[in-house]
Amino acid sequence: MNCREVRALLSSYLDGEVDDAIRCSIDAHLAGCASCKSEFEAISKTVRMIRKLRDLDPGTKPEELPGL
Amino acid sequence: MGVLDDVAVQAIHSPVTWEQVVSEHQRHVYRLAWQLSGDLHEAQDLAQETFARAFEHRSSFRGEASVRTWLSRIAVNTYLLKLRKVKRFKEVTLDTASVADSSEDPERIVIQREFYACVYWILQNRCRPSERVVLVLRDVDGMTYDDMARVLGISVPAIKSRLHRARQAFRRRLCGSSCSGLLPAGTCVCEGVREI
Repeated sequence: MNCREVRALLSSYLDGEVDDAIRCSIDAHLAGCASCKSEFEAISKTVRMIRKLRDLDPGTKPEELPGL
Repeated sequence: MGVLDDVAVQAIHSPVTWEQVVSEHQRHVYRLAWQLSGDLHEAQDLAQETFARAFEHRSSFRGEASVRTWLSRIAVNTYLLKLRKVKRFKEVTLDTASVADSSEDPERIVIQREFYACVYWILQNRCRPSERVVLVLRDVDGMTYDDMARVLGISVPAIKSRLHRARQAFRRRLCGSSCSGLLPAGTCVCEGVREI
């Protein structure tokens, strides 16, 4: 796989949504390509940041809402 | 269709058990509506409208997806429909939300809150609605790709592509924001980020 193909799959790879053969190809590519490895780390950090929003609570309980 | 699916379908179709369906899923629907709209009042309206539309169309529920996924789909469609009418809800901030603060150190709590406010602000005010929907469904709500495909009515490969573009866009917008604590790689100096 070349860099362009790998980068297009980094999100799916991060989420474990690629098949074994592709995962092995990406593993091998990332082991030898600093640029794609850096891109993968950046995507990983971004996702971890967004996932932190799971800690947030809207501030009003649904049972307090009128009509629900 | 399995036994559990049959039970879910019967529960949806019965007016007697509809209240239980609402009770079981109202928290999820409300949180999803809030993450999408970024506004408490809009979230209330969206959640109410979602359940009203779900009740109205409950005969269309066949049990191919879970009740949660079915309700998510209605919530997302209701949100996108409303958005087309008003173009954009007002600019939102994190003022009303509560954060589960894990520290007793006031300074650290402030830094944590700044971090949440920054990420939340980018998601709500700088991401396009189509980007926000996939980011919320996957990264905030934790939905599977298969369920996202059901909710959005598109293929799993399309989900993969859309989600990747949305994550890249989020990072670009974060880097392009005016926060003085941002570093080139898309991370920031807030303690909250160092912890993740």
